[in-house]
Amino acid sequence: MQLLIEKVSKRYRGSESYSLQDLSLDIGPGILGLLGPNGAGKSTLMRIIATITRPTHGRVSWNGVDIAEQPDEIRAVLGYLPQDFGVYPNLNADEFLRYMAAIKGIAPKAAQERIEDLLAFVNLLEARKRPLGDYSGGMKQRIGIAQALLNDPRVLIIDEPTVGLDTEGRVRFRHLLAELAGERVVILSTHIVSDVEATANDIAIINRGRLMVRSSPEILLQSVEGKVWQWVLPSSELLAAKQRHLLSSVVRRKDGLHVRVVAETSPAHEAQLAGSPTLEEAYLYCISTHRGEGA
Amino acid sequence: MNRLRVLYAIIRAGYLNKVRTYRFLVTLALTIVAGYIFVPPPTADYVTLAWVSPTTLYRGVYNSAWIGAMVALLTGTFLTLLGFYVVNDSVKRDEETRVGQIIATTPLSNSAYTLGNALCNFAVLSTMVAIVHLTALGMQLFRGEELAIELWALTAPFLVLVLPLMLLVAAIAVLFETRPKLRGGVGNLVYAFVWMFSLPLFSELFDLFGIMGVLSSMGATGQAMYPELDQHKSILGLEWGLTQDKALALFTWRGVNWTPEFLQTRLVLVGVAVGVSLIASVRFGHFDPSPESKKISGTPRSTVQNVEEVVESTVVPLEEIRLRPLGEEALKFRFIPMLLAECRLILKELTMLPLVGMWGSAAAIALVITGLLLPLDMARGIMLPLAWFLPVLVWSRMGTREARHRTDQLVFSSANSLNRQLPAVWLAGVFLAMATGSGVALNSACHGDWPGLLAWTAGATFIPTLALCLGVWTGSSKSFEFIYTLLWYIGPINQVGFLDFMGAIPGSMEAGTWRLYLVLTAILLGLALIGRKLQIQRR
Repeated sequence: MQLLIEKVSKRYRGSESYSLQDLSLDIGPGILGLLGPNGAGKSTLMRIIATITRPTHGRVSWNGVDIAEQPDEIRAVLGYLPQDFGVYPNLNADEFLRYMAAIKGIAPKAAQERIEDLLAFVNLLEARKRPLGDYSGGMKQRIGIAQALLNDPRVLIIDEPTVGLDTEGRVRFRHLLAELAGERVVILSTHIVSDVEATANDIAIINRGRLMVRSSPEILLQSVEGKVWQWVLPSSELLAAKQRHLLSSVVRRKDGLHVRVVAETSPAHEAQLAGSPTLEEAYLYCISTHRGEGA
Repeated sequence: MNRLRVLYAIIRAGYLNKVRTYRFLVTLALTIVAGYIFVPPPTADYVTLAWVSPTTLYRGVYNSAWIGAMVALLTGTFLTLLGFYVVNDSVKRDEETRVGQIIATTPLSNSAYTLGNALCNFAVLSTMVAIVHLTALGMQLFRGEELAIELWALTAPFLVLVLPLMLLVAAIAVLFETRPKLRGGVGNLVYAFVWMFSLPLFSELFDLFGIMGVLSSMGATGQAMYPELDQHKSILGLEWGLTQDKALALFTWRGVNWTPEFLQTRLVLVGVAVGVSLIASVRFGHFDPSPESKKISGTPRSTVQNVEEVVESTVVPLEEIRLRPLGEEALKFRFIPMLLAECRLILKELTMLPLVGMWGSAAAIALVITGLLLPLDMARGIMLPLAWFLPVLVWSRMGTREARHRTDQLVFSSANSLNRQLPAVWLAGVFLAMATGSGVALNSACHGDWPGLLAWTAGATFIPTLALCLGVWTGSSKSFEFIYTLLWYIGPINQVGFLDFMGAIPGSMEAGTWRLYLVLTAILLGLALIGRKLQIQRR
């Protein structure tokens, strides 16, 4: 089970710049968290793997088969949740999932059982008979997650899955991912680092269409060890601090603002090294140190 | 001053958004072709503006005045129909892009918004008129009957006759868009019906297109030169078969005398257009996303819970949920469930038709029964066209449904969607035609009318194939709604034999018209497949 991305570039028609450039990744079973700022090229990469978009250069292969040449090889085992998708507003959840199951070629009886499980998982059992047009954004997102899992996919591509979900929805989603982990390739693209922190065993950070880092969460955390500082400063100095340093968090307390900063050296004489860096800080550090690279 | 700036901003943004589309370029190309067709050469087997007698065709020399007036009259007629479909998506665009909700939070008034959109539509239509005008100029030089260009004589008919009409169409388009029940497919059909059935009657009372004023001036000039010319026997429009065995008599016409009375009638149109755009602002929902039908009057009962609340109250604990894996057998593709799923989707849409609602199915059943019980001629000539008009708004979604509801990424990333899902969509459309026309088919079979049954089969396959092909290639349901309604009106309803694609006219069956439509069906189906393949690949 191998998804191989080799020197993939993508330039959209009418655009001067590349959304992806010479990007290579070798992805095996497990959960790969794909991180990057807005416009980094995450969604483009996801669409290429999902066979929605063709790369301008390079090759993506699933178990040795070029998916641009033979897209049905991966489509047969694919579950895909796009970042921006719609539903048929006059259908209810049951009808929509049955429709999607038919498109994915799932036998009706097996599909019905699967839909029951998935509706329970995404917590839509009670709302299953309501037209999807009446659903909130979060509920539609949960339907999107359910349809991506209908065919028990070997390759699961999920683009910003927790956008619009409430806290409980996000917890349930993380639980679902943990349940799914095993003999399948899961690619989770997001800019919410905590989602990746909770689920991924492998992380790729891309920026301006290029791969910046490919690493495990542990190694990524090590990279920022000894580089996170904290101190208390008055509110009036916040703006100046923001301009000078890479702030990872600001918490207002009685004695002032508790700020955390990612920096190679001590940013202020009263600053102290913070205890345990977070993945978000590691991510910020990575993006800031690679700024200027890329397309 | 500030308001004018806001109006200008609305017009400019809407105009740029519309003219920077592939659809606009196609429409422009069609407009240029129309301008060419409107000025036929003397050897052509059709006429567009002439007076006819048993032996002679009379028309003016192709000078600036004649070509300007002729092309303006024809443009005014066809653009009042086609133009509506080109521009009637301004409010829809703001709604779909959610820009409308941002606009709604600004101090912009409803009336300024609707007027701005009407003027934006007008700017788009005026661009098309300007292109036809330039084409007319080119055609005068190309035909070469008189090479001297009189700019005012060529231009005045466009300014006086066509532009007021375009302003009216622009305002009506906004009015339709701001009325929830006239928005989208229903509005498209209603407008086409009003245009087709009411305008000929209305034109008797008011010279909407300015036709009578111009033709009487032309006819009088012609009669002065050829006393036998009967002013009442004029032809305006594309007419075939009149040029054979007739001599061509030319006269020189120098243009309309634009009297104040004549100009007043055109100004009335401008006033009506402004009024219509202001009426459009009345009760316009200002992008409130809550559907009107769901407004609840009175005090809400305490037992009412919203969907989110209901869901949260019955959460299944995570530890109780397990996803059962799917075996290989469950994942073997089966076409029948796919087809049934598409049929269910289509049936659902039939029962949810705007305005018709649940009565859609009842009306379809009534048409089936009457189609079966009425005498065959009536069933074929009346009930079949009705039965095959009722689902227009369902067919028109074929090929566009995925883009319309943004499910395209979900559907196109499924295995073999080209050779599985598309055929299922097509077959579901054919089944819908067969089901709604089944009464007439049974009636034909009972009477042993096999040619009629063949024509019926051609129609039942042709309609959904046309819908699918147009949907895939244009990405819009409008194209099918427009073309099919015209075809339906001219062919089966007005009994033009070669456009009778369903066998509604007895003569067309004997002529074997159905063969033509079976061949067309095969071509359109092939085009739909190619179009969808490109759609999947070109991203």
